[in-house]
Amino acid sequence: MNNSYIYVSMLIIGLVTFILRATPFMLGKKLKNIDFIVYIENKLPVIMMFILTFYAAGLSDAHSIDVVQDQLLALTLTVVMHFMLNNYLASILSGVVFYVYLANSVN
Amino acid sequence: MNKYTSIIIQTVPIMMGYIPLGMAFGFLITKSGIDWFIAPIFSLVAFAGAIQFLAIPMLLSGESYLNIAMMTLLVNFRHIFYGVSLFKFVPEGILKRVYFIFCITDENYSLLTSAKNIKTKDALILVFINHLYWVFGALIGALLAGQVEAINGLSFALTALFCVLFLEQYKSNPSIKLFGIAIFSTALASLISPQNFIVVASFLAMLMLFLDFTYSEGKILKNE
Repeated sequence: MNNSYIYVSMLIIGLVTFILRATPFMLGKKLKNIDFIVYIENKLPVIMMFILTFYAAGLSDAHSIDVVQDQLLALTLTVVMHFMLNNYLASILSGVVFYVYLANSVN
Repeated sequence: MNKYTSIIIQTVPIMMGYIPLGMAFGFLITKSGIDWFIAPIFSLVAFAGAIQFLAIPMLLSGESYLNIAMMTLLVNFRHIFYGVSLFKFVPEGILKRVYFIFCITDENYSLLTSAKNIKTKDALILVFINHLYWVFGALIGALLAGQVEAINGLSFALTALFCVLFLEQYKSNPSIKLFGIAIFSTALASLISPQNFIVVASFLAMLMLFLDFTYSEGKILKNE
């Protein structure tokens, strides 16, 4: 494996991702006339956020039940903190600290 | 409060996700035997999140460019829908416009669609700062790869970030139906294809939104 192979590969990844991200802007104002696009504009974010939460939880290579359990416990704390304090940082920080503690404690 | 201070404060939740995750990326790719300077360059030219992690085993096994392109297309396909919610944030000027679009990651999309007090003209600076976090994280991770073991569990920051953004989105758009679609797509995708979770889940969500639009909401819109 040489570096030029890596450079070309990363450019391909960057370019394909960019094209995907740019598509709605290339179609531009025309999209605004499509009712379905107007409809998903407001509905999709909340659903994607939910899916991404689970996706990110799985990203940290969860293959054992312990990991899943730790993730769910830490997520619960994050949600509870967010309802109590309504502060992004406090919720995220408490979830992370708790998860790091769980992930590093011997069961 | 100074303008930049208030923008930086808004990026802090993203920083808490990007720096540890960027470090994890830099750490892993460098530990796999790839030159340390590749990690920050990769994060600079791609800013693509999960696919960068997936690229590590693909690069190691010498996958063809076509396979790498196909994998990127599949994993990031959901990004094709993100721009629709971000039209108002796009800056003037071709270079600024291209760079802003380049920066529409899951996290930037989430932040820009969730936070209510982001000024349209500040969006570009905001995504730029977040890109810096991502590159900086990769650089630090790459440099540490030769030195230390990773702190286990820091990447949970990103899970917590999406979770909190979900709660904020739900507060401003409370709907049992949307919640149902989210749970159903997540559950079904985990069951039928855990390896391609993100691709299948976002496809299912779009399909259900389309069905909902066709059979209920669309009719309401047309009758208005």
